[in-house]
Amino acid sequence: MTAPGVALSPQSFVEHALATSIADDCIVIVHDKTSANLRWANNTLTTNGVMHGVDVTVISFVRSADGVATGSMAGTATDQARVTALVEAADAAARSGSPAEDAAELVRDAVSPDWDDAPVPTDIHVYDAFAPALGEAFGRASAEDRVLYGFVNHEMTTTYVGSTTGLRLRHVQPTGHYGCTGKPTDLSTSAWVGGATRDFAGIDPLALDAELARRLGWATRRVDLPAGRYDTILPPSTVADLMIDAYWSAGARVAHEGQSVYSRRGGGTRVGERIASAGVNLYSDPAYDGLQCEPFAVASRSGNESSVFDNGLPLGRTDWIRDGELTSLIQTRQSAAMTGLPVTPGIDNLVLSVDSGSGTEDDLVAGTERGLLLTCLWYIREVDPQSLLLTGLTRDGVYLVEGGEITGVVNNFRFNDSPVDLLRRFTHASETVPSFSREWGDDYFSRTATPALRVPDFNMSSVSQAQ
Amino acid sequence: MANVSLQPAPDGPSTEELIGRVERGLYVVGDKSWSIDMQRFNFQFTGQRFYKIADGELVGQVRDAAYQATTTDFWNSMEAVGGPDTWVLGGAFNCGKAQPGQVAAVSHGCPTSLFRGVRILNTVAEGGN
Repeated sequence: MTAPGVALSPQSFVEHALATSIADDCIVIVHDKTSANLRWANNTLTTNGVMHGVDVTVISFVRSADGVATGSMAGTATDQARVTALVEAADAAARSGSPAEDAAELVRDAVSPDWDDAPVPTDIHVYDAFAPALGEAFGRASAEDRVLYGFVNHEMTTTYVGSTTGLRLRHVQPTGHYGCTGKPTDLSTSAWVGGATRDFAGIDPLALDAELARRLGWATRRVDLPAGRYDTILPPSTVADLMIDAYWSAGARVAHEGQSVYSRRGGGTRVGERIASAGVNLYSDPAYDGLQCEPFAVASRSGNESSVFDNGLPLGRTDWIRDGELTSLIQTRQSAAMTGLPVTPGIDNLVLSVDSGSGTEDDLVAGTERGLLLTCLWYIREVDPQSLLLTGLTRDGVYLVEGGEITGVVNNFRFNDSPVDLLRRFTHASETVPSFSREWGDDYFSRTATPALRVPDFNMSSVSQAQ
Repeated sequence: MANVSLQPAPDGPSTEELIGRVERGLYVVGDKSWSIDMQRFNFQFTGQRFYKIADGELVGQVRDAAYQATTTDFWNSMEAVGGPDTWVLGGAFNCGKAQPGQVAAVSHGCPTSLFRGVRILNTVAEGGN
């Protein structure tokens, strides 16, 4: 029995669960997560919050003559009694389960040197420099008849993975993002800026406001354009939006079974095929500077792209597309055996680079005779998995480019296009820079680096009246 | 995240009777790929299955279809709703909104309904292939 008020460490939850389980093997994953956020609207800070939670997942493995069955139970935990309940439920689920098709030897004896260290928290002081500067930005925006709306969030998640086979792995993951929308006081148009950060160092609200003012200045002339295919500059944020979908769809099993854009007609996968222009590289790397992420696999349940048996597998740089050729797909050990390809589990960051890419988004604008510059995309959904046709909308700034300059703001559009096809059709790319997917970055996938791309025939399927 | 349902007509037609009113059209079963703009004007959906209707009868399944409309135009194009026997409760456990993200279960019930003049897309053509 734990004495009231005694804080229990994540490591103690792990050891208690492993000692309590009566299954043949057990893996325990603990996420200790703290977060701090600020929200503002109409040039006023409206809310702030700090949260702390501990999530425990217990995975039990029971062997029989037919194979290995697993049971996985997850929940929040503040005391050992709750952990005990999760263990008992996971053990029972494994005992009643049928053999797992992804069964494999559990990873053994990998230990992080900092296993014994406490979780690393964040708190509201992460905004000690940001918040006063945000107040200054409010004052300047008000004086210039501009209103700001936005949200920032910073999280620290410390992950502990322990097992009866000797895993004792720990990882500390900082994650943060910022986004701000600006409007003139008549609310006639809007602009958006945003990005990802590990620590909010150097994130300057006054600079964000200045960029919003620049973009709102572009909107003094409004031009209505019809649906059609346009020469379109996709800034790094929108490229991140689209590439994340391309990455999430890159499961090897799904491709092998003929259900994705990476499926080869007649069977198998397209690994080894050229699917993008020469010089296009799409990869993940847990050590990528500024986008560092977990260097080992963590899976609380099995699915097409993850396996509980693979917990603890080491992760390294993985090229998904190299020089235009599809080189890898997201694998479990089971799907790797099925496809005859190397074991390349999913990784929590994504980088797109183009060998010929140079300059900035502004340079792409300067080189465009007539086209569109987007700001960000919204409500992106898959239309056709076999071509990876996506739909979605533009928002917060579609700008007309004429003679290498931005000459006005254009109505919003619904698009229908495929990110994989774009990698074959683009004509120009900027250098790769840290980016942030507005669509997926807040809650799912914030660690990206992408270039801006210019696509000569991006498909704007219809006009959206939304402003 | 509101739970909004479309009420069936108490003595409304069956699905077969609604199909029987269509000379040339599509019968859409299920939903997929929902996307709508931030002010809820422009939307595009696909379905689980699409069937071709000719002279009031189903004449086979079709593929690569999506439908696209402006919300108010779409609902103004609704000609009829089916009876209680056509009503189905759908929903999701993970409707997400807000910053920081929040998730809630939602449910929406609808009868089979007939809409006229909705824009249908060929998704292969949309992809330029």
